[in-house]
Amino acid sequence: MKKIGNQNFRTDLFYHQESGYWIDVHNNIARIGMNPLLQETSGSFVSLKLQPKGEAVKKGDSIGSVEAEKHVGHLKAPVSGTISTVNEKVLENPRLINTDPYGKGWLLEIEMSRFDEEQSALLSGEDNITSWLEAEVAKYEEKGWLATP
Amino acid sequence: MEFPLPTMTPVEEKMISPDYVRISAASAMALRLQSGRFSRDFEFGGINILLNYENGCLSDCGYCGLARTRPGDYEDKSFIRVDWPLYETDLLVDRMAQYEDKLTRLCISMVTHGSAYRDTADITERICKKIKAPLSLLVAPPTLNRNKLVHLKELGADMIGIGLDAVSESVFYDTRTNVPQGGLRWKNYWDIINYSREIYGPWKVNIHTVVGLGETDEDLVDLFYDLKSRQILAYLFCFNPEPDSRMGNFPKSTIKRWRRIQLVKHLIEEYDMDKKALTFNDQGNIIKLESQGGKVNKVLRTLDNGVPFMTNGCPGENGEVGCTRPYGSYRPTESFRDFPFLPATDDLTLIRQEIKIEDLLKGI
Repeated sequence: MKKIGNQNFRTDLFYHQESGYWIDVHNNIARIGMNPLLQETSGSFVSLKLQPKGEAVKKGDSIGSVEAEKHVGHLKAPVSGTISTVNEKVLENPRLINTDPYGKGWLLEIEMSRFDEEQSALLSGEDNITSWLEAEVAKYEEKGWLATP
Repeated sequence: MEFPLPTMTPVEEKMISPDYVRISAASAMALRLQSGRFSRDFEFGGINILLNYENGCLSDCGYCGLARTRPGDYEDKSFIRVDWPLYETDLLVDRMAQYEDKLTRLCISMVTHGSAYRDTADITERICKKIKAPLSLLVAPPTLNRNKLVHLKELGADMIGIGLDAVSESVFYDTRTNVPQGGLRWKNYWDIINYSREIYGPWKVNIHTVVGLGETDEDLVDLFYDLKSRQILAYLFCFNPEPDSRMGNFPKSTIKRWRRIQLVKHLIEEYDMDKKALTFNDQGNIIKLESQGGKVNKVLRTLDNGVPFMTNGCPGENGEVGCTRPYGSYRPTESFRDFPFLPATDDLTLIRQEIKIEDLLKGI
């Protein structure tokens, strides 16, 4: 874990910069969740909708939506494939995204169909991830979305 | 007349008012005490402060998240559907001073509690010593009398809000049960409204009116005319069901009804529209609006650039609405019931669809 801004981040995962998701890849299955900065600046989540298991999605397609107290976000697939698992616990309790974004707060898993082509668009490597997140923190601070001491 | 309510002696280690207060989630974000964002970008500087007590509010309004009989511990209760984080009062005042250039309007919301007046006075004094932004008080009538209202003005509050919420006496008693020691009376609320008007002056008192508690459109319209004649402001709120509250399963007013009430209120307040322009059905609901030509016609054509659909709230120093309560009456996934900013062109297009003006003019 690496502390950047107010949060600790894993740097051993892929990140999709546009959406802000982390992606953990094992045996062509991508487990997807929100990075801690994204959850922090969205506020406390109160409702989550996800596309069902078995749904085929292309990169950029809607995979659901999430509602925080003052914000609503549209979730888009960071990779193409078929939704193989949906985290039922996070659907029941969306605040798990806030409290445990890398653990119990994961969203869904996609069995990827085009990972070879799409992998290059994902960010990986500690230095790359750190640089990107530091820039994101600076951008969010500029927007006034982050709490200050 | 004063109403006896139990007074709690503060215990030092308890995180209660006056040394601790709650603030709205949006206020916490504006002061950067809490991270977060709004679905749409806009400037926000209205800070809402809520008194905090272990045993909470002694009122029992069927639509309110803080109601005495709503299940759950007071500290876990939501209010207007969101959490209100707790902060040390002095820390909050210092933080408001730090962000003073952003602040447009401050407001302390009392709850019905025996210590509420004393603590509101204390917090008002702490704020007004350090902060120049204007301060409103949303008062709990069962805790007040004339002298106390005078004292709160002397301490620096410039506006008084009264959460009448129910716009008719029958709806008032239908939606609220009494406070434990008595004192929750329609007349008591109106006494406090009248004292406030006398003490704070014209357009310095506002009455919260909630659409969707069981009132008729005519009840609302009559109150708008009455308050206008007395130079008292009417602030419109949309009933937003609070889960687990007694009215948690009641439906919200339809968007069509809500938009029409917003428009009619604006026409009454800003354009002196005659009540004769409105036709009500047997249930007291508006079925037709006669276009009276001239200015009213222009409003119907332009929707006054969206002004009727903005949040009703106390003004900032520049006269613009300073308390905009974003997402206070609706969820972020819904249409803005009231806009914390001037609606954009796309918003106006949607409002036109929602309000169905042509049908209103034809009496359909």
